[in-house]
Amino acid sequence: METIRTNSAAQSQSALATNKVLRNTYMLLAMTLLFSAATAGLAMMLQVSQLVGLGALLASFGILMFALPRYAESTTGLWLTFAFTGLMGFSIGPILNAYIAAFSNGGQIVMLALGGTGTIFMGLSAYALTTKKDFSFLQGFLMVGILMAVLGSFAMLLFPIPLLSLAISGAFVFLMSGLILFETSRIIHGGETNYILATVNLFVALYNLFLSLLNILAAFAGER
Amino acid sequence: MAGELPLWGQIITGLAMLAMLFFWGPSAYRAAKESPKGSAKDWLGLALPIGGVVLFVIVLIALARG
Repeated sequence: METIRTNSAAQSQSALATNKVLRNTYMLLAMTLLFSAATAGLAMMLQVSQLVGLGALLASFGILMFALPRYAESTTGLWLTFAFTGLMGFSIGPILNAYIAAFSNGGQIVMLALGGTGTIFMGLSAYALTTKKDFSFLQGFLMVGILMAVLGSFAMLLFPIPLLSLAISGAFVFLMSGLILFETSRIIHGGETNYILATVNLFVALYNLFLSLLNILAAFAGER
Repeated sequence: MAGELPLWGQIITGLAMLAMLFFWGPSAYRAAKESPKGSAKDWLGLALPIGGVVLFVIVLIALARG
């Protein structure tokens, strides 16, 4: 009887910890999304060039690869998360300006991509949360796939091929959908206990999903 | 943006690719080798939400085309 009571207490404690990580993750994600939207708006208003945007993107990669893993357990990690997401948002500004300038329905495409990203995120999160399926088997597939897709998108800057760009965007939609499922399932199953890292992973998924949808929608429905 | 990068931009992009391969490559390889392999049922469970995403993207394209 005592063992059952102890097990039950341990289970409810674990569930509470999971709920806390989930709540903190979604709260931080909401704040960072608002912040990155503000920096994107600033970059659009200032009409910053694509090269400055690329510089902001590379700086955010530096934070992601070198600083965040080291400080993720401290409050410095929180500031770094805002710096990272702010730079990512800033890097989107010139891209949005380019789409709006290049297509007569550019504004509509941007809004559809934004709404589509939000809907896909909510749908996939709801699926992972309600079914409680374990998507940990995706880890290796996602890491290799995302590395290849990121390298491919950088290669596109050097050797622009429109069809390849569309294929990479399609791959990103698959991979980022998988990443949302994987990360949400990891939080639910107690595999991710750090809400800063969980937020950063989900933010990266949303960022790439948005840009990929933007590229796909512009390719199929952009009017010049 | 594509094709408009000056030489230094191309060099930075190339260096970023190399850095990514150097820092991320080994851990991606390790993760691919060591992460649990999904069963057919697991992959089927993934097919449903991914299929939903594909359908939704098609709907978005149709909406954008008017």
